[in-house]
Amino acid sequence: MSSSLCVRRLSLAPSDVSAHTSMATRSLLAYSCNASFSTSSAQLAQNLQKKSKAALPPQRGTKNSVTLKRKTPARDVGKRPAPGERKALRKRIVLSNINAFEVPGLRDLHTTNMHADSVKGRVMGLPGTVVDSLRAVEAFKTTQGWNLFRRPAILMRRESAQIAEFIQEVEAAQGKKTIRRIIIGDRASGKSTLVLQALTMAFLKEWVVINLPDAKEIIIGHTEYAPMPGSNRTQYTQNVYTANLLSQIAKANTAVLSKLQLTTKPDLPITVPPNATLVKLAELGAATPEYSWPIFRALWDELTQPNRPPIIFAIDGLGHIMRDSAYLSTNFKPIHAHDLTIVRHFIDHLSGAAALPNGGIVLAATTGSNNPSSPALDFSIQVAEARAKGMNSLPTWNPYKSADQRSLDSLKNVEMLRLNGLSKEEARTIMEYYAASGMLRRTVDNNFVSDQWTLSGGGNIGELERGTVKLRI
Amino acid sequence: MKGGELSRSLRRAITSLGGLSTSQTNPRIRVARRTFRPVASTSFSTTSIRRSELVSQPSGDSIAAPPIEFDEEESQSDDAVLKKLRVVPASPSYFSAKPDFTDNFIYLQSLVRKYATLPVVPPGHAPRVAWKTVAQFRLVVNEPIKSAKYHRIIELLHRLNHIHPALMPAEVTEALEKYKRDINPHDNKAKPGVIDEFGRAKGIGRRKTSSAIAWVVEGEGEVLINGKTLSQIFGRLHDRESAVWALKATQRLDKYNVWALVKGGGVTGQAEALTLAVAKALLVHEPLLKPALRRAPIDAAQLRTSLFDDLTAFGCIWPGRETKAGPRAPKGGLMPPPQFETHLRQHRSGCCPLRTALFLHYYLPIAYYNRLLLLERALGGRWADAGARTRAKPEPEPEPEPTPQQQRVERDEKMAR
Repeated sequence: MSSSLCVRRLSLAPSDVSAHTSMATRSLLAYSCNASFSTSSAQLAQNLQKKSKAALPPQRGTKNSVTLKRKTPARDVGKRPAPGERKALRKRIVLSNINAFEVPGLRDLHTTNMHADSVKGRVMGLPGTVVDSLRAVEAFKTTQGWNLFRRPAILMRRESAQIAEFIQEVEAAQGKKTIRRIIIGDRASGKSTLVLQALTMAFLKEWVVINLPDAKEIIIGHTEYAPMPGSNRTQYTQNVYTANLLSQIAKANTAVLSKLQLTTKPDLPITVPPNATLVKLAELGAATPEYSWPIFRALWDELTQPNRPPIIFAIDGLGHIMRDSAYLSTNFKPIHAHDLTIVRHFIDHLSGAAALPNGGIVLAATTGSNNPSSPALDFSIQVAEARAKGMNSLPTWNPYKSADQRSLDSLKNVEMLRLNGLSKEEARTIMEYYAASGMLRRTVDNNFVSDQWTLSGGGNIGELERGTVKLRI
Repeated sequence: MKGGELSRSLRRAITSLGGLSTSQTNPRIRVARRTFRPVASTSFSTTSIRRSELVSQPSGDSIAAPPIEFDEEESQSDDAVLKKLRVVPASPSYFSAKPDFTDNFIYLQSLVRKYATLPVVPPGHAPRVAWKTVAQFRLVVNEPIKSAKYHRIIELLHRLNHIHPALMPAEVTEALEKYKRDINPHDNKAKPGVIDEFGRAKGIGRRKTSSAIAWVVEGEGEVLINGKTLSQIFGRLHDRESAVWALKATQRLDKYNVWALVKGGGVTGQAEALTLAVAKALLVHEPLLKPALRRAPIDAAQLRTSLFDDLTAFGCIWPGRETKAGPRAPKGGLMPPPQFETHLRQHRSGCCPLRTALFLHYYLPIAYYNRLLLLERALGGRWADAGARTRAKPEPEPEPEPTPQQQRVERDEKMAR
């Protein structure tokens, strides 16, 4: 180390150290030159560096920076979307296409023709009132092709007729029968649409319709949750979600619920006027989210009183509630989806633990495109299908896999409704409907129908629509 | 030169010739005879390897002059004899640049000439032979043969091969044998497919690293690939169409069921391996579909994706022109409508489907269209063939009136004759 550097270092040392020269000389190396407590030093240093760089002659082969004008950074003048605008756009349901033709001779579905043989395998329009109700319960999905046609219409396929039969059976049994089904099938095979068809028929029959439009929304942790006081195994209520559900129920079932009045005195934290209609009760719950769960329970109790209409209770995306949710308990353990009150309520009815005293249908559709891994559900489907086929040896659970026992137990006694592809006649009907709507500009002949039927994987209706209407080349 | 000197030199030459003639009759030296025999095994390369071969081989059949055998007792007078000798090589082509090739060529020519009168089979009916490639032939003769030269040999071989098999001389058979490849690929005949007792026909197809086995049975158009439906295994509609293309193009999609196993490679490769497998299995059921399958019109959508890269590479399409809605027309502008109409009519009238489809879908200006023709030729295969076969011939232009200058030239030629 040169002597001049030593002196400079010495000058940087604190005064008390430099006072004792012997000490200072020993600890010289301990002081670094840039030891400073100012936060501005880094900025200053940068500025110094820049200056020194600019002072250098321009580099060979590079453009002279003096001649270049520095661009001013582009000002962001774009208008930001308002809060929620993007989500609204994403979730927007378009049910009409004014460029599509109105299909001549398209009849509406009614209570009278619902079970008739004449509508089997035909395309039927949805009545306007039902469309409003279906929109209220979010039965239409953005992924479905409603926006391609003039007005919403459905194909009464074989499985739709089966649902119509279920409704007939429930009505015939005078409230003694609850039908529980899980709708399974390939991706885009029409599972959600079948739920929609079931809801449509229930609306037409003036049942009470309760629909959980997407199970994923319940468990991904996007709505607030709170432990329910007094629950033994801690249950969690989702107040905002339940309030929203109550408002949907009130909006969609106004016609039915406005005719029904309170018959019991529900024990609620807020006062409910006596002889209030059930719509009022639901609206009260929607308006006060903090009491939405007790009000939902009260509404349910009212609906299960004698001489009430049957209930259809449906969910889409069953796999999501057959696993842990994204919520955490106070112990930072994931909460099982079945510990959420609304899910628990649905699962009790799906598994048959709780009955519908006035009868009804409990429907759950699995999802193909947004399929969460739920080994319990997959296994239960295998078992149920093997049982339905009357096989002697049922599949057994792989003992090396950790089992979600609650999910397995809840699905033990549920039957499956498998959605197969359309038959060729049904495919032809729906393609003729596409052509009549002006969305398929081809002659619908046998050859074309069978080609498209094969290419859509044996009449998968979503693929059929994709191949004939959406992917026109 | 004076006359006396000329006569003197003539005389001297005659005497020297007389001396030579006596020495040439000497029985110790074999007389070299001119021969057409092809001599392939020897060569005159200066490389060490060839030289060593030459040393090891008994050089009995050389095109060079035979070795002179000197007797022991006459060694005294050899110097005198050698002074009189002129060494003559066995083959006259010894002095050419490519002696072996020349010998072979001359020999084949002589064969053609010799058997020119023998009956021949009609063109295309001769037994299929794979001749040696020029590279293989070069290895045999070890001479730098150009392919154009070798092609002349191939032409001769082709002519000889067309001699009627019943009358084929042994000499020709032997000569042809030398030019055939060791293994004749045309001898490998594909085993004809069979329909088994369950009515299944099997076909195997490969594409890139995928391989597919397809069983085709009569049915209603159901397809199961690896136990999955067509829509489950192929997300893209294009791949689904590829997989069953043979059935779709022949309008038999509702008449057969397909059960297939496919493995290896990627999704598109698997789909295209299935194309071939299904087509082969279908041909077992209906062999007469072969020409229909060969000229199967290529789908526009299929074109757009599978040939897109090729076209881009060729410069027909600029990269980035493909949009979500489909390919856009080039920036240079569209073809003027009347011209486009005429071209379209021509190509509708029976051109190859590739060109028509591309023409419609890319709406190519004429410059790009010409490039496309070149591409098609480069691609070879069925589209080029189909185009060549069915292309509508343009009307021959009326010959222009000969100019006075041309008339004069013609008259002069007539006079000369």
